[in-house]
Amino acid sequence: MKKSLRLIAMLTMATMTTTLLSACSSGSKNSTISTATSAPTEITWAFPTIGPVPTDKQLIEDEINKITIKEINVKVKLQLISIGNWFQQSNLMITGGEKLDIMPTLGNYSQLGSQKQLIDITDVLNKYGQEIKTAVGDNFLKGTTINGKIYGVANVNGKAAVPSILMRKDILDKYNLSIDSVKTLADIEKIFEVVSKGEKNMAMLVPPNQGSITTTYAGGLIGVPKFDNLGDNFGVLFGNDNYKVVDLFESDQYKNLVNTMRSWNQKGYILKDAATTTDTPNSLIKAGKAFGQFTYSEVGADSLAAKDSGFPIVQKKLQDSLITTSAIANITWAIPVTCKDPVAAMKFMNLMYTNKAIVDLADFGIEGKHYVKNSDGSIAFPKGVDSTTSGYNPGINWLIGDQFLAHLWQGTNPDNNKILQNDNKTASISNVLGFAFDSTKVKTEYASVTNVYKQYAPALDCGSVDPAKILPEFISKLKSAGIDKIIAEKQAQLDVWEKANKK
Amino acid sequence: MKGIKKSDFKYQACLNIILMLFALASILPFLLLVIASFTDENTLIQSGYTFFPAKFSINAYKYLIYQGPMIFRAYGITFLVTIVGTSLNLILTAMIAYPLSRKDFSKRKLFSFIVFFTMLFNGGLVPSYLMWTQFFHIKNTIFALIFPNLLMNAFGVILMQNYFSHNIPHELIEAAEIDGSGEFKTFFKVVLPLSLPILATVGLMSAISYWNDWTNGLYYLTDQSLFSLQNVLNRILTDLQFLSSSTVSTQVHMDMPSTGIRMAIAVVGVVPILALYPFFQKYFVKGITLGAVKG
Amino acid sequence: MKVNNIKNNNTLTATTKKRKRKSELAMYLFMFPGLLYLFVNNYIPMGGLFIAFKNVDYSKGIFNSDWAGFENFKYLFSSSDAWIITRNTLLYNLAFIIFGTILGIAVAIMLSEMSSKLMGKFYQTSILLPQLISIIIIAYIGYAFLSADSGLLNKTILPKLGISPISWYSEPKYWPFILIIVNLWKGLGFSCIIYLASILGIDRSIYESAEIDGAGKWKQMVNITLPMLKPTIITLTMLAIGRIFYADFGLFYQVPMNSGALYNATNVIDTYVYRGLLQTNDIGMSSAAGFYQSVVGCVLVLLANFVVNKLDKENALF
Repeated sequence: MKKSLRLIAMLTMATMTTTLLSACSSGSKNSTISTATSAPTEITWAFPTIGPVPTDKQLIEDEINKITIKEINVKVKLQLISIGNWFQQSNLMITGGEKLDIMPTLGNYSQLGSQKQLIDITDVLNKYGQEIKTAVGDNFLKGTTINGKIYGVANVNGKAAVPSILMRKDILDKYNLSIDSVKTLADIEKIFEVVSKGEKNMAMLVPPNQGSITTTYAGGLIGVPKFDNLGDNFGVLFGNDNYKVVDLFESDQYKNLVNTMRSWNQKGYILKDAATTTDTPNSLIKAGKAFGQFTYSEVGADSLAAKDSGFPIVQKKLQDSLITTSAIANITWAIPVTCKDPVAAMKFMNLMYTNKAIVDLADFGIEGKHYVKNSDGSIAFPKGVDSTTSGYNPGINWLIGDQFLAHLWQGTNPDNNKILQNDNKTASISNVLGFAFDSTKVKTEYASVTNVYKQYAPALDCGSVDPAKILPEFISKLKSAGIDKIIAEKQAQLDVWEKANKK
Repeated sequence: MKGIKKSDFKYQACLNIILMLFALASILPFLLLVIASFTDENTLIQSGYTFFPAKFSINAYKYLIYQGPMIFRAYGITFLVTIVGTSLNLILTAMIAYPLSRKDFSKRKLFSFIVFFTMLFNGGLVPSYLMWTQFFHIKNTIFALIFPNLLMNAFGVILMQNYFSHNIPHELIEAAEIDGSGEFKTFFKVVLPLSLPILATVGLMSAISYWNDWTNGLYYLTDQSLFSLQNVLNRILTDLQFLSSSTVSTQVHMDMPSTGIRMAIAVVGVVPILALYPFFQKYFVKGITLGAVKG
Repeated sequence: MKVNNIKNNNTLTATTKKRKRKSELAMYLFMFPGLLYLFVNNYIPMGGLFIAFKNVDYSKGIFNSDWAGFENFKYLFSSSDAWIITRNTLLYNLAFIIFGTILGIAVAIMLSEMSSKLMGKFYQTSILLPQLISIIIIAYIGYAFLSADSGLLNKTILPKLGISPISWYSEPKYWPFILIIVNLWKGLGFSCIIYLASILGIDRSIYESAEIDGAGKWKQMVNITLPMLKPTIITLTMLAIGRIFYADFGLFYQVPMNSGALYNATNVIDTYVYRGLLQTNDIGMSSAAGFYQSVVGCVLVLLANFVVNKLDKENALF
């Protein structure tokens, strides 16, 4: 009785599982036939919102459809998901084979690409996305190419972000200091020395992200001008004249950086809770507890910070821009494997990069209802509406297609777009643009190394532990977790890429 | 009667002191939370957490009131789901636990194992997700908050089974049988009425699980209008966690909820169930009354 | 108090047999809805455990992806961290079981002895309060106490005691205590209710006759209450052993505020998996971790059940 019961149960289980999973895997077959019939093709367009899903979502969807049905015979359904839920839910949608035709990747492009959760759009991009290619430009396209194939396209925005420092202008003025003289960490320290004496209750530096003071080890902070972190800091390129992958954490430059952070921490310049606080830098500045922060950004970071903190802020870049693969692939638009009609999706993506009305609708909503135009061309909330009462305020005016097409919000420097576009054109480009590391072969080591990294790097970065003791420990643990294997694999992949791309 | 009044008094006084310490240990941290939710944001950041803040403010709650309609709706959904889910849970659990407690049931050990085994092995999120969405189509329905995982669990079954087998004397069941009562009648008329404490316990456990659950909503609901209270509150918190850890955040500016608001969120999530709990406690009163008869 | 219900074989008549069959049928009917749910909710998804052995490639679909042997399991054993996370998971759970049981029983007994109904109600509600607060908020409460800069301890309490501020989130040595206390604090409310329910089921007359015989409170507790609670204690402990390789993710991730410096004391299997897979999101590897935890828990509980069967057959789980 027991045996037959078990057998029946197993058989039923196996049958059910088989049926389920084969039903889902069939979702990966794409049809490239697009029928230009009278009924519009329906696609689901998903993107995250900062905050709750806006109440007026349907209105926006209707307005967008007025355009898309007319232009490309495609009906768009908006699938908006709060950013906190975004990764979990978009992932499940793809795993579950649900209808999802076009979505952004936020920092996980190469991971989704190597797991084949996105489809190869090289061909369909050529056929139906020529205008995207023009808007994005060759370099940016290279940045999202994996092994010769394109799985996603970068959004068009300022990509030449660099490590910069933000400081409160009013305090600088108080002590007759200027941020313009700042070029190196030593210069920054000079300013801290003066300010900290006068402002006892204020931390000189606060973390822009939890557990991270320097946010990035790019160029200006470790003293290497053309630094490419090759996606994850596990094996990096120092300089742009060679293709040798080295371990960042064993370098002298890294040692110097953490020593500096340590001395700053001991001098009291760094917020004591830097490793654990979840207070945002702007709220800390607002409360009068912070003087400055490092940030990895383009122009405009100062006006954003000023708006949110209520104090005047100035910004200084600490190195010349270098456009790397990770900078470009940080935000891309892609078509997941669950899409049944990539042609329709691509046609819509094309509109995202060319049609100003669509970008404005998605960014800001409907003119008159969610925003009004000022005399100088900028836009602002209508009277009586603010960020919490507006029916459509997703906060994503950095995400959609070609952002240079969009309106500028009141208070933004009107020259911003010009500067960003110029920076994009004039910034140096990393020699290894287009190289994306596939970690599948070393996934065991990768998981171990990630844990070691998260254990030691934040504390060293905030200067809360003594590098003389902890840094060697960090390095040896990385080695035993297999970082050398990762670096060797990366080098091997880079060599192959170099041969294929440098002719 | 036995026992001198004085030693009784000392005994009770000891009990009271010790239990009061435990109660304070539970209440004071929560009190700190409530006070922080009423503290002015800048003061909170500048001077830290304290029971006596320098400056009060209700800004945190103002922010939540803006989200008011959404929060009220979420309250409604949570109550509905908790009540329906807990009721179904009690029925399913009691009905499966009863045979397992009957020593004269021949397959008792086999099915006990079948039930218990589910606590040991877990297929993981992906297979469960595929099944519930592809096969049962519960995605974006209210059932998504009721069915997965919480409708019955082995832990409750085992607790109840334990209680039935040790606290319901078999003679009672036999007696009912001899009187000609069928199994169902025996169960409802004899067993259940004697099992109020365990029904209340498992019911409470289930209610708390439903009330606190946020994963079902996260996995199976993209339609915000079906979010439970914890989903709404959690979403606010995870939005914040994302912004404080991502490189994308440098380009985002929004009026994001701050420390005080997080505290307010916690208070909002707890207050209703806390207010209602004393009413459900009357099932335990019976036992506590009995305890009072002693000594 | 063993119940004797063995019918004398000689009196098994036809009607008795028929009644017994009817009774068995009724038992199956009772169990049917619950079993159906367990089958759907728990057993069918178990079929998906094969994902642990796959190298998932979405273009082929999960089902058709290549087999990966034990590749997905390697990261759980390969680095020096493997020992640390295993040790942490086991030791914490052991501490939780031991202290949680002792405290839960103690408080339950105390509550059952209360003469004031009102105060008893109050204490019980208060102690239950932490159970109702989400773990993220508990982490914030912890932060309110332990923050280096603005926490209650460093800013108010320690200075009064003349101790210099401690950087709580950088010193692993305090955290076993902190985490055990937080876990007890959260779980006490509910565990004492479970024990209380059992205690309430004990026939009061036993206590009364013991008192007549001159037994004091302590003797009553040791000789009546504890033995009556034995089945519940054994059951709860066995259930906990089955989960001994699982850790409460919220407790070990959120409460230490994800502080790297504390990993040696706070990294458990569940947090290790989460952190390791954050970049790659490999569902094969995360499924492998769940599989590993299940297998170990299963083996341990079977062992424990075997031992209990030898010592006290009636109280074994199966």
